[in-house]
Amino acid sequence: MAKLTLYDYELDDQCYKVRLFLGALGCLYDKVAVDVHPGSEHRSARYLRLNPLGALPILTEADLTIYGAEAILTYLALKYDTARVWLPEKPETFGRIMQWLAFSGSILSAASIARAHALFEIEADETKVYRKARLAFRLMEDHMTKQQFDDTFWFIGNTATIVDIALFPNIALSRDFGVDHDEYPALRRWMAHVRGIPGFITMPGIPAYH
Amino acid sequence: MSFSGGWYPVALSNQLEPATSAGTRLFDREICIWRDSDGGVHAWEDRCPHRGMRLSFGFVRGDRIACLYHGWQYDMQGRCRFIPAHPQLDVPSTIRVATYPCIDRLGMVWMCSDLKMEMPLDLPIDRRDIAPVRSLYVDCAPIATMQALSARSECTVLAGGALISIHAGPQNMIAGFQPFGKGKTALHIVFLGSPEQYPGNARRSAAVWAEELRHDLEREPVPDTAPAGSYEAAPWRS
Amino acid sequence: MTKTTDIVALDEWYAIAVMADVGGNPIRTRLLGQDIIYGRGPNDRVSVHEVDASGRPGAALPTRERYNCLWTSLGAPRHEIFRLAEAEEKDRRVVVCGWIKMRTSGLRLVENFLDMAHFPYIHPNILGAEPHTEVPQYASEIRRDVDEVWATNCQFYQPQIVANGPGGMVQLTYRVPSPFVVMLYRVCPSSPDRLDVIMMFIQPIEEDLCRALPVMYLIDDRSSQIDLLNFEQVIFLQDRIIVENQRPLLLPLEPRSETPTRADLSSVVFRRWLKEKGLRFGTAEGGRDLV
Repeated sequence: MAKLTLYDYELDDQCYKVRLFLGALGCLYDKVAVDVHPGSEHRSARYLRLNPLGALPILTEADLTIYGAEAILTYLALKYDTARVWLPEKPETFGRIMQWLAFSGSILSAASIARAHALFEIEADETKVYRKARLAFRLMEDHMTKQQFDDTFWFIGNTATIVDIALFPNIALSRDFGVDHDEYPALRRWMAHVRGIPGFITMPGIPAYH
Repeated sequence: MSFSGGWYPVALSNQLEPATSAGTRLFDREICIWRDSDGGVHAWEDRCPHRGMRLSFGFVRGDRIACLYHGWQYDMQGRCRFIPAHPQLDVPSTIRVATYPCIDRLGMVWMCSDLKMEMPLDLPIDRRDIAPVRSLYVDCAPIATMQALSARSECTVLAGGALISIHAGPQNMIAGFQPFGKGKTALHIVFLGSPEQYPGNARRSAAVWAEELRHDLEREPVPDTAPAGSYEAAPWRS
Repeated sequence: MTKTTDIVALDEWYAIAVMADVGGNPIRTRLLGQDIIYGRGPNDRVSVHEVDASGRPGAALPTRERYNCLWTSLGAPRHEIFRLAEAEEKDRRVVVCGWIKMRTSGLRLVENFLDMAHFPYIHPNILGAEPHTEVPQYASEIRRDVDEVWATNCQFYQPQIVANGPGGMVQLTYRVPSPFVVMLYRVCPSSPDRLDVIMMFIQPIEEDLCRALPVMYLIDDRSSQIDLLNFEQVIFLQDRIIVENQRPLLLPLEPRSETPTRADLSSVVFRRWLKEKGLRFGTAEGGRDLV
């Protein structure tokens, strides 16, 4: 089997999405550490050849190069989860998964920007990204509040899907940019369940003890 | 800052699971709420006396909560029982966290805002069958929120402001009122009745109603007329 | 905020940039509440200026280039930047880890750096592991001849002293050469007669906001640069959630406001030293209200 290689930065929340899923799948992979901070190596010619957007994560396998956390999660689910639990094929479920993956790649990315701004002083319109990140968290809280009425602890259906993996890191790391979890009781309960997924791993900013 | 003592709801009971902790605020004071493994609830000052770390980041093991920073363990009375850096040490009884009176009632976790006051929680309603809906966090000052709710025909203020009775269409709900901070209020909404009486779809439509309420409250912010920091000036606490 | 009036803080040296980042484009930052601007002039000369109320460069500030960093002071330093003998050794690997911003007092960060008791909880399976939580007795003192705080004979159990190796007690020495600089000497795993040095330079921006830069001088010809960088950054970010959530964010110097134990001896000595110096910036006793 061709070897999976993840181009990774330990402190990057998007890379963490992929590490989290590889852990949950139990996939073996090679990790290539990229000097994002302070080296900006992800914008060097070498990495721009792999991803012209100049961003991590990037996954390679044989001749395939694929970048962007949501795309990589989808690829890994189709390729390595033969039971189709992480990405069910039922159209209604699949459609909702795509809806939340798009959410993860759009409005929720404000949380990644806010965090990079707070940690590494990446330029950002602070008021705007904070407002957008908090709105994203609120939409997630509203959704999970209603999921509880159906007696489910997951974003879609009764089992964990790649949506739970894609959405977990930003809210779990929100304290890195000064957003507490006080206002998100349904997300707190959900996060405790995500922590219970076999193969779960933490990253700096998500304490091991909880 | 001082304010008149009283009981306030700070969470829905079902959202604070056994052996977990969470942070919240009452009048902008940081509070750690936690539930021990046997189901007892606790509301403490959110600060470990050792190095000031917020205890809401801590972890619950059995009947103790441990501070995340150095693992100092506190019993249910707030007394430090174990310091991992000195495993043999007989911990002095003076090392304590400030604890607030705390109790589960009406499907909500209630705490008394006064550390020392021993007044009982006296609510006009006493029910054990509760169907929880949701906690709603609104970016609207407590006084403005209370004024806006009082002006709505479907709302009736009870218990000196700690509870609001809501008759939205066919639904009879109760909301616990938490003055979270200067610009924020939390409402803890439940049905008075069993979960069988109020199944998922009833609670789902109540949650949608709550989202719309939040939208209304945030759309037209009523100016907070009270002087900054003086929550005790709230009319419903007279 | 505006420039602090705390003379003790003003008269210290502060690292404000990595030399490699000092170029032709002037960069604006803030030190002790004062906006400053630095850059490299046409004749390659590095300069740092205060930015005045109208946004124009004002008074030129003293500069030094030391330990891969640009240093400056808003006051009149009464001594030179501390000396690190190890930095003069030719076979040292230098790892400059990148600035990280933190919403806390820089002094909280120094204390966290001095602390060993948190290793098993905040850096589990890296710098510590339950049940090995005990902090053996160590010594700490103010060294009057050099006006520095030291903690010596420090030991702690670490689960891996070298990558994938067995656990054991590490020997550490801590040194605080100025209120916003802290470092540790660790017996080098690959050559036990020498010491690795890990420093942390802190740029206090405001009373409760700072940025910090770990810089390491190591004896290590095996590890890759990126692995060394990653290791230190992971540790550093694991600590960040702690120091941003201590209350108050400013360091209390009043002995009864927190509860030190024997394991906190270095913190007790550090606070006593700050109090003796009369430093107020970043302390709960505070420079904020005093004029």
